[in-house]
Amino acid sequence: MAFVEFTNVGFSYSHNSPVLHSISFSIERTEHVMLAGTIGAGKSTALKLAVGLFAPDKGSIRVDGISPSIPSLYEIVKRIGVALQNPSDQIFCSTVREEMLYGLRNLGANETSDTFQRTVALFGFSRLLDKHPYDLHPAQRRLLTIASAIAMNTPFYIFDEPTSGISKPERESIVGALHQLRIAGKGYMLITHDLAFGMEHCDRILVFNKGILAVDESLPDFLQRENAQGILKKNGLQMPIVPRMSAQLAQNTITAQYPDFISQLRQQQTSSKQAP
Amino acid sequence: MKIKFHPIVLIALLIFAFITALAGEIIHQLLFIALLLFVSVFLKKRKAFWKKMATFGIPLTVVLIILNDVILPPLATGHPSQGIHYALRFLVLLICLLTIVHTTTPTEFALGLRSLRLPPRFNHIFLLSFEVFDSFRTITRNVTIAQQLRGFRIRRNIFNRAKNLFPLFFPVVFSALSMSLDRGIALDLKGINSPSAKTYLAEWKPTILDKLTTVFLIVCSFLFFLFR
Amino acid sequence: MTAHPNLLLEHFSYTYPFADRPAFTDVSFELLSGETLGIVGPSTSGKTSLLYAIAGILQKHFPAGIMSGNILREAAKPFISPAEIGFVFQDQYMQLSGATETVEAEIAFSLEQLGTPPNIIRERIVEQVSQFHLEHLARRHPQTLSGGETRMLALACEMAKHPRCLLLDQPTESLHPEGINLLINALNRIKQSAMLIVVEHRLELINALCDKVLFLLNGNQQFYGHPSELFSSDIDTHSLDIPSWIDAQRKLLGHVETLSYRKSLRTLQQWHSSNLQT
Repeated sequence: MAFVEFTNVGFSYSHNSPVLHSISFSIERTEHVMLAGTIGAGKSTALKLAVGLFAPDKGSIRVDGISPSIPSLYEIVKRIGVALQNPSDQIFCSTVREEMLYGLRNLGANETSDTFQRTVALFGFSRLLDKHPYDLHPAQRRLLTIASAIAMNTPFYIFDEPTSGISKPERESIVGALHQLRIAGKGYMLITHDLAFGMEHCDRILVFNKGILAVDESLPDFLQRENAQGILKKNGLQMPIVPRMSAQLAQNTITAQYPDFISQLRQQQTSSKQAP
Repeated sequence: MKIKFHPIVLIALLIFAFITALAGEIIHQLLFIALLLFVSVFLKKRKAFWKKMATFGIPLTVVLIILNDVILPPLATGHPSQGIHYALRFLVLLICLLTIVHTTTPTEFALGLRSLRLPPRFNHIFLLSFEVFDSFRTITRNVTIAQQLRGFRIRRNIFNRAKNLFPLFFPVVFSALSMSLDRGIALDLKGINSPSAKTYLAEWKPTILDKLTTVFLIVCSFLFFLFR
Repeated sequence: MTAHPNLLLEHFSYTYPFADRPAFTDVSFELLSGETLGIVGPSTSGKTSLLYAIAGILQKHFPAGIMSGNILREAAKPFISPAEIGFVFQDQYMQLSGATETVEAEIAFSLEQLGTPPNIIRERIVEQVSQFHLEHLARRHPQTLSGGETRMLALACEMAKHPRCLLLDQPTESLHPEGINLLINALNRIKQSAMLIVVEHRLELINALCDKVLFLLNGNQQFYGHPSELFSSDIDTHSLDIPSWIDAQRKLLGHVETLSYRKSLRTLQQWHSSNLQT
């Protein structure tokens, strides 16, 4: 049985404007999935439904066989670590150390725990441990929310917009952390409109469009599709430059528009092939 | 029917409530409470009003009475029932605050105050004090969600919940205040302290009735204060 | 237009009260009206503090800090007045006045405070609402908007002032691609008549918009010059996000140090900015 399973899930905050219409998908415990979509597509709502902060209006949700709800939230968060979109909404302890240990303590571990030490090292927080989280830069605070989720050592993680507003050093920390999760055989879902980041670190793509699941495919398959760029565009998204250019190079369509440019690229390609 | 009072009426009402609670006789306080309860029947948000009264107002009143009349030793205040005396004071203020909260919204209140053309400093302070309470509420709600997401079991028992919310108090106050500080900078950049004459696209001037009520309330409070 | 710069910073440094190291040191640049400056650098490198200094916020709200060097503005006034300056904060929720019930009223708020005549305020509301495609939100309460929508509103509010100096602190955060395009178009419209300073991690945006770029690292100015020279100069840029076109080139071609690198870079840049605008 799949780890996270949505079956015909519908949800609305108020009666006249449904946010999700009959969404169905299932994710395995070890999968690495990206969930994309424009603003108002229902991405963050899906996250809140998956952990049980809201109950679906129709359909059913199962996480590891449990139906997520407020009473079962404790069982769910033992299985899914979550970092929400807005860091200032979810940091509440007086030091970075306390913040990272909070989840661990609730799950019955402590400061000497292996995961805590490893997460601190992974994010390079050792110098910041005794600082007050409000003294951190917003980008570091976002990192802290992700680190606090990872410190809980759950089998699966959901991160909402992990790369929003961060600069390269923080991005590298997150990339390192995702890599470690992969090695440890853990799954994650990235909710993001940073497609370039998502495509580099996930194997499967889900696209929401106004509450409907528009794409659910493995990433390599999706990028192989001839009209992949068109599909994304139809859903309000833009294909990142790397896959777009490689597709255009493969199809030679770039030549017509940019003859000068393509000949240069070709030259460089041949010279780079000769070089080694 | 929706009752809509201009902020100056509400401020006058609050002053009146303070005077009644502190200086009034039991009969005045009872009259005041009866008057506001009558008004509350016509409130648009009367359900919310009564919900807060039932969950918060009435239990606390009962606790106050029991505490003063049964548990604590009597003080020499000369009142037949000390508990009822304190409970009435509390009720007068609470019902007045609840009425104010449920007849207006912070934005309406701010619009009304702005239309009085008070010096910009006043508006600034009012807006920021609304901010503090508003962000206080939002932060507490968000943090409760965040705690649950990190394995805190909210339904385990009420003491555990209180225990976990207590250390939150200072960070929440702190961040609400620092948010207000930033908000102050933003408002300043929006020109709220600008010395030039302001324009008003939308205005909410007090009506004759508003003005009369205000004057009446202020005069009453004054008389109460003088002839208590 | 006058030949002397409208904004000039010379060896400008600032240390917050009680801080153990300066927020930024020895920053120098000059800017004319109609020019756009991009400020890049990793988090905690003092970018936001520099914006605060330019806007006069540090001088006004943190006067106990230590300041050295010169900051000269055209009017030579100690603080730029709110009417002349637009400031888009990194946290868009900070930007709401909290005193208005509709998106339209929120756009008007600042103009009302500054005493703009009512007919002009109405014109500006229409202008900004259409510029940022806020028509469907015009009657909504500002506090019910999503993060991206609030960002658009914050941008509309500040641009409605028609500021002579517009400062933007990571304006694309929480914006979707469509919103970023609207922002770029709006900035291109306003930049003729104003001075723009943008703090941003996305170098694509810096390249599409800016005439000059300033690279801050731990409060020190590492680079100041034309954006296209940032990556070809020999300064250490490993703490910056690689712009996507260079990233693409590296990934597709395997190496970058070829003879035609500069030319293909420029072509790619043009290609990218034209793609951003369509």
